[in-house]
Order: sequence, then structure tokens, then C-alpha cells
Amino acid sequence: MASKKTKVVDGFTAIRAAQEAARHGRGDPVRPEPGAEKSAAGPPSKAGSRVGRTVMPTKREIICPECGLPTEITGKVQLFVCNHCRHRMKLQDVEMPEGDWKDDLEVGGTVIVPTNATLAGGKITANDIVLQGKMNGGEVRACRRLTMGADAKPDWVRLKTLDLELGAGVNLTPGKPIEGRHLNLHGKFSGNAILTGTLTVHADGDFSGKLRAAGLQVEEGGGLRAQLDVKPEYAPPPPKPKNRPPPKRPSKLREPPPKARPSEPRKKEGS
Amino acid sequence: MSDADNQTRSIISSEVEIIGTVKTSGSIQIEGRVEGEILSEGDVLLGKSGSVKGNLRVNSVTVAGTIQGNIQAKDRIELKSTARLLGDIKSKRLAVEDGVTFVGNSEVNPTGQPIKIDEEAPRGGSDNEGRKEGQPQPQGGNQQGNPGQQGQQGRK
Repeated sequence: MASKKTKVVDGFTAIRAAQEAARHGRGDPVRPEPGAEKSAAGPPSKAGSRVGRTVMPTKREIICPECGLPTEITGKVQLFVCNHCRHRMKLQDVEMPEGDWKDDLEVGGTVIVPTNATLAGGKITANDIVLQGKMNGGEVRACRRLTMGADAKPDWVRLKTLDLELGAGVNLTPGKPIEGRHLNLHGKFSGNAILTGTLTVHADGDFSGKLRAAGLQVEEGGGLRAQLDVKPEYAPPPPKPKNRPPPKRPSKLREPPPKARPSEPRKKEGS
Repeated sequence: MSDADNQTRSIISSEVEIIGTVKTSGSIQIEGRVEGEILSEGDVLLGKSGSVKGNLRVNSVTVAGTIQGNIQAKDRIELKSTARLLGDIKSKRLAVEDGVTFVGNSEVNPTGQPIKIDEEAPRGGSDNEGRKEGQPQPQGGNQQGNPGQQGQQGRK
């Protein structure tokens, strides 16, 4: 009797198989060509009509505020749990209302501070922050990226971020050197920057000052008047995976106990 | 690349090493090694295997190899990801790919006045031969008004 092979087929595998078949000219089983005979079962099902428009779920990088390590999540998730330290937080986006904001807030999504809002107190922690309003107090921590709008008035003493992006029309002159990972310029930056990542000057951006970075990218049209020290070696080494104890072998794979050596035939005593 | 460009383009192949000034009214592609100045009214393409130890005064330049010297380009400088540049640049337009190594000063102001190429050799070309990586030196005579840098030097 022939052994039955079991195979798990998930949704993506089925879709890819249908796409592959269509690509190799085997025809779409769901949407036959106009000249083909219609099946006796009736009109084709609508399930396959979405084959051509399948979109892979987007991936997002969430940086944990507790341990600072990145975790990649896929699709719609409401609660973020850090893979490294098990820290939990909501993954919602928040747009602050007009007026003063004095409460604490911790989310894994994006916090938008609009032009007519003011941060007057509290501690705000988010993965991404879009700052278009004022900072009069409180602490702001963007675990990944801070995007500054043209009307933003940041307080650099109480502001921490990994990546900084200047929107179009922003003219930023920080009083102290900017330290972080990436700096993304659509606006004008005058000052010093020490980056472990890349400075990207877009066509509408401008950088003047001193730069030490691992990478530099300038789009044609971007301005760059600076003392540069750009070397890929300045990038930090990738984090090593933690040493986890090796998984225990399942009982089936355990080696069988050594067989007893065939003992020599006992000599009969007394013979 | 069009045929017309090929007709006027000189090529220094990877087996060639030149010590001295290279001057051309057309374009030039460098895959070998040049120790000296390069003056071109056309475009210069420095391939991956190419290296130049000296200054470049050109119309435009695309760098994929190594340059130890200053670049002055009337129109455009393009640094590919494999480029390695120890020296200063001055141009109207600049395009840089991620992955470059660049130690030196940059003066690129697309909205400013057009770049005027000095007739004499740019200062500091030979200085770069002794330049150590990680210690960018000021461009000196070529430096125009730069409020950002002046301010930072005052702060530091």
C-alpha cells in the first residue's frame, strides 16, 4: 500500500501557485480564457479574482522603549510585546487635541503633535513622533523617528530620538551636536551631527556644519557645505543573537541505548 | 552612451599607470592609476579599479574608484557607492550614493553662484597625500562664507 504524504498548504502558497501557473501559460483555472469551454459546474468562483491584487502584509519596525532593541511586526497588531524583554504597549496612533497636553503617554505607534497643540508636561513615549507644535515642558522620547514640521519648536534638552527627519521648510540650528542613527533632511540643518547611520540630504534639503557618519546620501539638488568624515566602518556591528540553550531533543530522536555486547559463550563449568 | 561620446572619450585602462598631468578637451575614462593632476573640459569617469592621486579640475566627474586629492567641478560630481575620496570637493551639484567613504570638505550650493574653476592648481592637493583618515582639514582659500561652520567652530 502506498504511503500517503500529508502537506500543509496555506493561503499564500495557494495564491503563489495560481500566479505561477498563470505565468507559465497553463491558464488560470479560475478565470479560463474566452475560447475555453465552460465547465459544467457553472460560472467560476470569485475567490480567484483577487489573485492579481494580493498584497503582502506590511512589516513595521518597533523599537522597544525599555530595552531599545528592534522588533519587526507584520500586519495589524493592537498590542506590542517586545521579543527581547516582553515589555507590552498599545500599538495605536494618537493625534493630540488642541491646547496643552500634560498627561503621560506610551504607545508603539505614531504620536502627532499638531501646530496648535503644546506639550506642557508629562512623559510622551512613542515609536514615531511628528512634531509640529510647541514643547514647553515634559519629556518626549521617539524610540525610532522624530519628524519635525516647519512650525515645530522643540526643546532639545527634553527630547530624545534615534532618527531625525526635517520636513520641508524647516530651518534647524541646534545648539549642541545632534547624535543619533539617521538624519533625513528635506529642510535646512546648520550644526554638527554624529551619526551611526546615514545622513540623507534630499533635493530640497541642505546641510552645513560638521558631520561624522557611517553613510552619506545626497540627492541631486541637495546642498552640502560641511566638513565630512564619512566611513562605513562607523556603523555599529549588528547585534549578536543571544545564546539560548540548545533545544532538547525529542524523545523519538534519542539514540537507542547501546546494545549489550554479545557475550562470549559461557564455558560450561564442570565440562 | 552615444557614439559621439565614445569618439571623444579617452580611456586609461587598468594596466596603465601615469605619473604627470593629464589634460584633455574631451571626456576621459580612468580605469588605471594616475598620479598627478587631471584637467578636463569634458566629463571624467573614474571606474572601480581606477585611482587618482592628485587634483581634478573638470566639468563633471563620476567617481567609483579612489581619489586622494581635491575635486573642482563646474557642473556636477557624482560619487558611487564604491567611491573612496580623501579630499575636498567644490561643485554646483552633487549626488552621493550610500556606502561611500568621504573624508574632507564639501562646498556644494546648488542655489548659489556658479562654480568658478581656479586657473591655478587648487591649494592643498599635495597636502592630502599626508592626510590621515578621520582628520578632515579645512579647505582654506577655497572656503567661502559658511555661517554654519563658523558658528560651530565658535561653539567648540
